[in-house]
Amino acid sequence: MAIVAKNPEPRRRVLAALAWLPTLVCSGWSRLTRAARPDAAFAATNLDAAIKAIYGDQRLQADPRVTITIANFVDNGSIVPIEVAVAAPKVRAVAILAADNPVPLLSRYEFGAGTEAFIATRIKLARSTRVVAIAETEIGLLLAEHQVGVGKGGCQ
Amino acid sequence: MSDSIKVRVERSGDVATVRVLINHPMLAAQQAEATGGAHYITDLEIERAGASVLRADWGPGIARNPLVVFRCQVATGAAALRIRWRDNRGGSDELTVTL
Repeated sequence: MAIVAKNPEPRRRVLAALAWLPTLVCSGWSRLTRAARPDAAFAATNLDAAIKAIYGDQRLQADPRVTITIANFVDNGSIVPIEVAVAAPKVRAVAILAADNPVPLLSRYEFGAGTEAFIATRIKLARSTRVVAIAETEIGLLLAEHQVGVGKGGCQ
Repeated sequence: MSDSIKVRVERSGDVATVRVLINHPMLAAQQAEATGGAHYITDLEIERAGASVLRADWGPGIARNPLVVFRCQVATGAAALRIRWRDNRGGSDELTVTL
């Protein structure tokens, strides 16, 4: 087992072995090792409610280490490429939201060990809106936003 | 065997850039009244040797035929990446590729 070989210290070795248990016991979807799907956040119909449903009252701070790469204007809102990158240590997850979409929470990504804090995907934007990315990091919730103008909205 | 998932991997040193393209309508409720309501992928899981590489929760705001690109460290030697999705109507698919 590669994981054991990478952890020569005995205590670590035991922990590494224990880490395999959920995998061995649970062959289906690995609910044991992940946060539950944020259903309440997906049900929210405005940005603040969606953010509160995921993060409660935790403080959000705008931070230039979170970068959103997206067009300033798109003719067609039904397929809008977006990239989010976070240049902060220990980024656990990134959530992407669009303030004026009927369902503001678009997606949330959890990064495994060894996966960079980077994601590229394609989203729908119903109308011109603020697009928000929130990174869950060791130093708190870091936020970036970008205003996108939309010609023809993508049905959502 | 997966019909819905296509994967492209580019390796540069010990980092792999992985592009996953899934064939799926990603219909929101407003788009899908005639066909029985919303139809979209809710969960995407990518694992290597039982350890999570990337997990995603999606809503109807992800564009149809979803694309996701991520970068992960690759240890020397071959490693299998298992990619699975499931949707809000009980549909699912999976594919295992070698990095």
